[in-house]
Amino acid sequence: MKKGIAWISLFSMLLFLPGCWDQDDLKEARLVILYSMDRTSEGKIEQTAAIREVEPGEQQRIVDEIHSAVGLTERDSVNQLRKKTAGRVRHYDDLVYLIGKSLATSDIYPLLDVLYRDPKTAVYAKMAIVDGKAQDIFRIKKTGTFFIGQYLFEVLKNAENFSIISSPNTVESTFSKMLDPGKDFMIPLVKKTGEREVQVTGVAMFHGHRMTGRLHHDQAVLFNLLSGRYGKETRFARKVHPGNPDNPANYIVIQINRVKRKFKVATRPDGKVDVQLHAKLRAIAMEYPRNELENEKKIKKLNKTLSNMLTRESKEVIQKMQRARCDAFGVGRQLIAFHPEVWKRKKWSKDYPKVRFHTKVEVEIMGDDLLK
Amino acid sequence: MTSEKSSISPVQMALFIIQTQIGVGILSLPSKVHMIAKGGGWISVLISGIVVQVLIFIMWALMKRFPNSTVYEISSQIFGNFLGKVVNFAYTGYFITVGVFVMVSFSDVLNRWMLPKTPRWAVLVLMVVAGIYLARGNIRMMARYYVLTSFLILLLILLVTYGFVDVDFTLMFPIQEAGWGNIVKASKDTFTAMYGFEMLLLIYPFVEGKSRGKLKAAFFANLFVTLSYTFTVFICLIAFNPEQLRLISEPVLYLIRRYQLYMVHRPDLIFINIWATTIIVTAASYYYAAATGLASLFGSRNHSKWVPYAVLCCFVVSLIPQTSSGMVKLSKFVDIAAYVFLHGLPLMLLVLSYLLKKKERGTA
Repeated sequence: MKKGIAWISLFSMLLFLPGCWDQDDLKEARLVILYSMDRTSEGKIEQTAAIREVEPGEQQRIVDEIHSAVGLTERDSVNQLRKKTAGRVRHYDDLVYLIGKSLATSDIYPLLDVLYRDPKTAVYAKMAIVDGKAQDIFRIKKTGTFFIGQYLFEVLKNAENFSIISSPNTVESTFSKMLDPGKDFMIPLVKKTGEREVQVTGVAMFHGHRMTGRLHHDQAVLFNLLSGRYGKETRFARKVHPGNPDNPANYIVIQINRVKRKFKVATRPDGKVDVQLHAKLRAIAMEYPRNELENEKKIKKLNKTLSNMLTRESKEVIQKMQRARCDAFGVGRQLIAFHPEVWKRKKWSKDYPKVRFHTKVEVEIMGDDLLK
Repeated sequence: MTSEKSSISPVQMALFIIQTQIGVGILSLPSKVHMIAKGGGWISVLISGIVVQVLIFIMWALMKRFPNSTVYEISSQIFGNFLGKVVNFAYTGYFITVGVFVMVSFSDVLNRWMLPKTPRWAVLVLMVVAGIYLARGNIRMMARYYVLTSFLILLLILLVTYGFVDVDFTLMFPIQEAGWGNIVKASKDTFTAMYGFEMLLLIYPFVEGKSRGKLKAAFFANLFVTLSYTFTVFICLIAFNPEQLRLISEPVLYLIRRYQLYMVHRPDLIFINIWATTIIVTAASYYYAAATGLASLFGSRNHSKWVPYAVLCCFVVSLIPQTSSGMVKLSKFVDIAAYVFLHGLPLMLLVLSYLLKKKERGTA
């Protein structure tokens, strides 16, 4: 009997004890939806955060509360921000993490370190570099029915679907690419283009931990096709007939359905590195006002025109990447894996621009929509 | 010794060993092996599995000569009463140390990943209560519970498989980057994560059936653990790059943390919850082992009475190491102890039992 009471009291104690220390009620937490980092003119770090707030009342109105604070490090600026805000600001549910271009051109790892260290941060938040000051984007507040955080999230999700950036594009995926000595990465570049509008203008190329260049929209799509990580709605327009560039009849819009890719890194005895990069794009014509797709000869000609065009453009993309020293294809990773003795002799940020790419893109229009 | 009531089947024995083997080590294993063996880390796990098979064979050969005794009874039969007691005392100490190691590692992971502000004792009390309750029962009761919870291991493996969402196979090459010497060397670290097969020394007499069947069951258990460890290490090696593996202390949890799982923002918390069950079971096995040791030291036939003492011992000691350097010291100590009690002593007992021609009385 006595023993029973002892056990019961022990268990009832346990019912009350656990949770007391780490209790953190969701209903009391003030969730940050969107936040950004900028460099101030004094060189310090400025954080801006949009905190979602539900106004009590009959119609529960949602408003975003926006705050900025300056600090020495990422977490320091969070602490400074918390001094100004009411309640418990929490980063459990961040949707998007923005970095101003002024910070991105220097080492971004110190900004991200705390996100990987703290188990309670949202590592699956999408990332973007802001062309200009990140803080300015918060002024949009609301676009249509979307609040700024959600709006940016959706815009970046579309960028993944359109292959501007490979999926997943999250804080976490950046972590793994950033630390790999044999691979560089890209982060989408967004710009405030209107009163209520943000546009993904391209991607920021990184080498090591800093931004070293940019690719514009179409080039980014081409890069993703070449690297074989493309989205569901990869489509673009190209002018395939000579004549007036303002006449839509001179254009074709194709949607890429499949990419067959060959990527081979070979080394020569003298240490030179050759990369064979062949991409076979299977596409359908989404829009083609000339309606000539029943003629096999004309399709072949179209294929050839597009292939040549895209091959030339790809070469430009790769040139641009090499100038930025951005090894986003992971040539270095291939060397580490399959030619380790060559890799050891290389100083990659100097030797990567010397790599010779042999690029070829083949377009094959497989079919069409309802019309020929 | 074996009563009808407390006997278990070979399948139950296999699950008993699997549940005890799968423990705290696996979470940090990929980082540890990668540090030494680089891309060949998964081979180290396989090598370590083979070593464990050999050790299981040695233990089995010993237990076969004394089919109705636990290791405590064997040592007093071989070494005599006094020396036997000394060995048994050491064995009990070893089991308590491993119990402490399990508890400390468990609370450490929980404190860092899930409950940063909860004091260690509170986390451990949960473990202690469940552990006492489990270990007090007879072996059949424990085995049944182990069988019941073993489906959780499949869930854990399923969650680890989820890590495949974003992998790069080139990360595992070159496999021999560190050289075969280091790959073999790294298997030593894997060995730490494999503790638990020594339960064979204690539960063998309770298992029904022929000795060959028991060996098969133990082999199968270790094979399962080795393969699932290899799988886990392999996924981590292709999901993280070398620099990440150097930084991340528990790659297995990090692997699951990376992406949302449908509605779940932090799948790693689900993993920890399921994993906690297998850890409590592991601890319960060691509590049982230590309590049996105490019982034999004090000449008592019933281990249940001694469970609270053994657990209390573990609990108090596990509150001591507070810093990570203390943890490292503890794990080093456990490693050295394991060589003595898992490699050395069973082999010595086996050799001595042949040399002294000692066998259990009444069996041919």
